[in-house]
Amino acid sequence: MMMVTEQSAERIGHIIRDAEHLPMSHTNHRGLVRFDHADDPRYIPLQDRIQRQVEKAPEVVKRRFYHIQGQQLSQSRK
Amino acid sequence: MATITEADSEKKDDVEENMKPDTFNAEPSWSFSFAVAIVQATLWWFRYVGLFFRRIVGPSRVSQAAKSSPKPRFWRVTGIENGERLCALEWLQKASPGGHSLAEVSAQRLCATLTTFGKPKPALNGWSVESAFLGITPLSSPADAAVDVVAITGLGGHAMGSFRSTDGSFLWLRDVLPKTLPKARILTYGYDTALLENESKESIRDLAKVFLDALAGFRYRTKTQRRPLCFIAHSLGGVVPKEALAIADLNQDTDSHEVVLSTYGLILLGVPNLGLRHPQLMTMVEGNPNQQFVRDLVVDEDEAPSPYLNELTGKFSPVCSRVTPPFHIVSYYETERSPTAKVIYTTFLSINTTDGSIKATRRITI
Repeated sequence: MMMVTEQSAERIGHIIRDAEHLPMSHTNHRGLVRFDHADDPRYIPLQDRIQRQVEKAPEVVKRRFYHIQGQQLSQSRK
Repeated sequence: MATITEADSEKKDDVEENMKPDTFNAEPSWSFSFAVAIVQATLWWFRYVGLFFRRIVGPSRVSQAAKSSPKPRFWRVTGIENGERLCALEWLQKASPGGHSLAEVSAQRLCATLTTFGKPKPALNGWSVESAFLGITPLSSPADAAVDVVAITGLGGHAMGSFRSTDGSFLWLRDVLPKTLPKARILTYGYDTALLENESKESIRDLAKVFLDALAGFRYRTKTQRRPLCFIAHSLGGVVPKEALAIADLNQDTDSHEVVLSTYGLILLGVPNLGLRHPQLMTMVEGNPNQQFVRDLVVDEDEAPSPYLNELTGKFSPVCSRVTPPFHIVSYYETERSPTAKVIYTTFLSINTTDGSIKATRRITI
């Protein structure tokens, strides 16, 4: 039995844009986070995804806080 | 949080072994022994025939042996002072050369993890060893870390065990990821969702609140409240941060609100947003205090999601788009069926060293 169906895994919110949905080949529910070695062909793409997020995150989050501080500053001036 | 975990572990994890209760007939009669002898002879015969066939089949023998061999366990060592770093590293290298970690939990304290068959004896008196891994466990803490990566295990899972390899020795979160991401602090979060003999009435919402509090507290303690965050979550472990972000979004408390603003992305692996299909699970917890917990998570007979999950799906979209840009979400889904008819029971025997009492606990893994 498919414990979590593709639809269930994808339905993160009612309207979520820009989310990416990917199958993991030859993998059942518990296998999704279990890998036997660093060169596991199922693990490498996942690691690449994590790496991409880690590299992109600082710039985006910095800008977010910067933007909020700017908003708060302009509010206090008013 | 840390103190509770330590106290808990003292009681629970001193000796844990697989228990196999055997029953013996005290005074067997002659006819009984004769019957036993015949049964034994038959079993031996089958065994040799089996060996013969296995020899022909060949490779399956190897995989059978690998499956049944005992697995090493993960241990967490707390109470290590910053000044004891070198001593700890030397000890870890000797006790667990295959894989270990040493990371900061505060400005003064470190936390180590290791993988061994028996419970390791700490090198210094102030250190305590346990294997429950509740709360946050850092697996790396580089001085120039720019991002926090938080891994969250699924239903009935373990903060370390759920991510390990088949033979139990390799843990990608600890043994590879920190090397690949030298500028990330890797954290793993553990919570107790043992499904049997569970007296807990905690709901998924409660789990999320505890998680949010632990994460915000950990980041406050290590002065990293505004460090970017990425979540890696498996199964139920994905519902927990979704709920936590929804709670934090409404929260006026700055520390938890900063968790929302710091979140860059979520990598969700087999997260049951519309429910988990597991008919046996519902019958197993029937009448238990945690019945509602399972009911919230499992789909009903018509494969429809629970009211709880429906509500969460509805309220997560606005949280997601409240921040600019919205959270970066990657979801993975399984492509092979799971043997849900087979439920894995593990019985642990724990001996309380203070009063000598023995307690057997049954856990299930799905």
